[in-house]
Amino acid sequence: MMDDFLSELSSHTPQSLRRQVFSGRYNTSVGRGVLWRVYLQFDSLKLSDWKKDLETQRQRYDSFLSEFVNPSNCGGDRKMTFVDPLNNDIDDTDANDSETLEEIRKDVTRTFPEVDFFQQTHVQQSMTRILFVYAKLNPHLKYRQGMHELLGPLIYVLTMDGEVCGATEALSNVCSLQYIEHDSFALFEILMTNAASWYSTDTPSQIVLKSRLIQQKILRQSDPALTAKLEQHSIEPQIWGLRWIRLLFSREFDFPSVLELWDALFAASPKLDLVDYVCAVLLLRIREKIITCTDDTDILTCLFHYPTFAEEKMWSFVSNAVYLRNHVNREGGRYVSDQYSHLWREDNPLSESDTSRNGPSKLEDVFSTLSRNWGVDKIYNEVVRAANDVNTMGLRNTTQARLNDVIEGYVRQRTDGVSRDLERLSDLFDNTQDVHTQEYRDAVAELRALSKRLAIRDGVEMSDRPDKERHETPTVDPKQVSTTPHDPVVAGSRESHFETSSRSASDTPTRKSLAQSQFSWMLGDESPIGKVELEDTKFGPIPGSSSNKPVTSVSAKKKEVKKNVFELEERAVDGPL
Amino acid sequence: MNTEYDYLFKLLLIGDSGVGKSCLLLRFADDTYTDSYISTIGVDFKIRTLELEGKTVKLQIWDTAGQERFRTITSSYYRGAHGIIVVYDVTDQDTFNNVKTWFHEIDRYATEGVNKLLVGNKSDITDKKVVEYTVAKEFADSLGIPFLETSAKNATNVEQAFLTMARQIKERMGGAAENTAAKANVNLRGQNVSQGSSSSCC
Repeated sequence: MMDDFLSELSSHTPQSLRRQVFSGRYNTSVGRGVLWRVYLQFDSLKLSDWKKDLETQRQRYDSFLSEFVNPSNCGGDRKMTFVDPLNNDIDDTDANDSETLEEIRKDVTRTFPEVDFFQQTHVQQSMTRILFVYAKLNPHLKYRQGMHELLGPLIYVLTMDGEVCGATEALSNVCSLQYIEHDSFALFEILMTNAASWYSTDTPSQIVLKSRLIQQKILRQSDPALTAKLEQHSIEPQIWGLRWIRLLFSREFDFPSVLELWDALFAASPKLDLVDYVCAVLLLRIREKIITCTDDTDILTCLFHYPTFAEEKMWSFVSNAVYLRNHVNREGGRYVSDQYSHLWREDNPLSESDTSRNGPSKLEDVFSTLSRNWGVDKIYNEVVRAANDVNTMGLRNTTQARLNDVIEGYVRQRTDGVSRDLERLSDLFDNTQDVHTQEYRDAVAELRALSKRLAIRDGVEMSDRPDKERHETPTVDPKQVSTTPHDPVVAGSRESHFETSSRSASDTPTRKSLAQSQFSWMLGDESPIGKVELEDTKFGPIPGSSSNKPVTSVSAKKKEVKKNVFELEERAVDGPL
Repeated sequence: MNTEYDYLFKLLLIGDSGVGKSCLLLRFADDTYTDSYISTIGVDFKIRTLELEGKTVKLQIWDTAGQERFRTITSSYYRGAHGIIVVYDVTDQDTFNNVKTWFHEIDRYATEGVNKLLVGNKSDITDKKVVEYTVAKEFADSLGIPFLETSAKNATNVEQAFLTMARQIKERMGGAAENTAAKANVNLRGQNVSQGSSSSCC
C-alpha cells in the first residue's frame, strides 16, 4: 500500500495529482495529509524540497510554544504524556488569555464527538495549544467558534499519515509523528490565511456580506426562482452561509465525506475561493425540495439539517462549483440542479431499495412537473427516463399528449434556438436503443414531427436526415455517451454500445446544429469541466478537459454509469492511474 | 391553507457558550441528552408542536452560538422572535454575570414587548452550584420576568420552561396571533398561507 502510494506520487506532477481528485479514482487510503500539503502548502512532489520548509515551520512553532505556552512543557519531545487534561500546560495568568483558553477548551472537547480520535486527551491538548498560539498571533481575531472544526480534520489526516507513512523511510520526516502538532499548526495557518475573514468581527460582517453576495449574485443569476423563493420566506443568506462557510461544510456531511470534500476543495483551489460556488451548488442541489415547501419552517429545516445521501461523490460538488463559476446563468444553474433533482423524487433509488419502475401515476407526475416549463436539459432527462419506462406501462394514451404540453410550454417560454434543441432532444431520445416498443417509436416520431413544425415556425433550418436512417444507425457516438452520465437511465442503457462505439455519428448535421447552440457543451466537445480552468492557472485545467466528460454522479445507479465513463476516460487520459 | 397549527411562535435561545442551550433544545424537541454535544456555529433550529389550552402551537426554536454576542450577525436571529430564553449555567458565575449583557442585547435587537424568560441550567450538578436560586430569582423579579432552574440532563423543568414561554406569548398575542388561514388566508407572521396541502420539506 505504501509502495503504491510512493510510486503513484513519483508518477505525478502536482497538476495531475490535483486532477486525480476529480477522476473518481482517487485513492485516499494512505497519505492524505501529504496530498493536502501538496495542494495547500508545497505544490511540489519532490519531498526533499519540503525538508527545509518543514524544519523552519517546526522551529517556528516551537518558538511560539516557548513564548506563549508554559515553557516547562515545550521541549522537543511532543510525545510526553499529560495527566491533567487540557489545563496544565498553558500559562493563562493573563485574564484575556484565560478567557480565550476557556472558549477554546469548551469547543475542543466538543470537536467531532462522533469520531473517537478527537476524544483522546493528547489530541485535545494539541488542538488547544494550536488554537491558543493562533489566537495569540492574531490578537484582532483571537479564537472564534468554528476554528476548531477547521483544525480538526487537518490534525486527523496528519496523524493518520504519521501512523501509516511515518515508518517508511521516504516519508519518515514528512510524516513524523513527533511533529504532527507543528505541521498541523502550519497547515491550519495556511488555511486561515483565506478563512480568517469569515471569522472577522468587523462591521459590516464579512461573512454576512459574503453569504449575501452568494445568494444575490451567484444564486439569483443561476436560479432566480429559487432565490425569489428564499426571499419570499425571508431566509437571510447568513442563516446557511455562516455555518457552511466557516466550517467548510464540515457540519453538513459525515466525517469521511468531509475529508473527501476537502480533497476536492483543496485540489481545485488552494485559495478556497470556490467555496462561494459550492454554497450555490448545495442550494441548487436542494432546489426541488425548497421550491415545493409551503412554509418557511420547512425551508429552514432543510437548510439547517441539510439532507444527504451516502452514495454521493463529494468531489462532484466542487466540480459543479467550477462549472457554475464559468456559467453563472440559468443554464448553469439548471445543469447543476438537474443532477440532483432525482434525489427528491419518490422513486429515488437511494432512499428505496426496491428499484422496480414506477406505475403510470408516476409518469403523470413526471409530465406535470415537466409542464412547469423547465429547461431543455430537464425535459430531455425526463423524457428519456419516461422512454425507458415504456416497457412497464402503457404510454400510448398519455405520452404524446404530454409531450405536446411539454414542448408547447417550453416554446412559450423561450424561442431562441429552441428548434435545434428540440431536434437534439429527439435525436438523443432516438438513441436510447434498448427501448424498442411501438409506443416509444410513436413518441419519437411525434417529438420529431413537433420539432420540425417548430423549426419551420421559428424559421430555423433543420437537418433533413430521414427518420429511417436514424433508426438504422445503431452506433453511439462516444462523445454523446459522455454528454449523459448525469442521467442514470440513458447512460446505463447505452452500456452495451461502449465497445462498439464509432465516431462516425459525430459528423452528422444534427451534431453541427447542436454544436452551435447554447447547449453545445452537452455534446461533449466542450464538456462543462473541460472548459473550466482551475483557479490557479498554473495548475492547468482539471481532469476531463481532454476526455470530455461532465463530472457528475450521485445515485447508486450512477455509480455504474460512472464506471463506464471512466473506462472511456482511461483511454483518453494520459498517464497512469 | 395551512391547518397544521393554530399558532406559530418563534423562540430564541441565547446565553454564554457552553451553558447548555443546545442540550435544552435537544431535550425539549427530541427528548434526548448527550454529554458531548457539538458547539453551535451561527444558529441551529428545531421545531416542536404542542397542545396548549386546546390549541395547536408550533414552536420554531432558534438556538444561537454563545460566542456570537455583541455582533450584528445576531440581529437577524432576533427578528420576528416572539419569545427569548436567556440561559446561564448555575455552576458558572461568569455566565450569570453575563446575563445582564444578554438582556441588553434583547433590548437592542428584539421587537419591543417580546416575552422573556430566565433559565439557570445544569441544576443537576448540585455540588458545583455557585449561583443561588434566590439571587437569580431576585434578579428576574426585578426585571419582571419568570425564572426557572432546569436540567437538560435529567429533564427537570425543561418542558415547563418552554411551556411557560409559549403560554405567555399566547396570552400576550391573544386572538390576534391565531392562524386565521381559513378566514383571512394569512398566518401569524403576516405572510400569505400557501394554497394546497402543506407538505413537509424534509
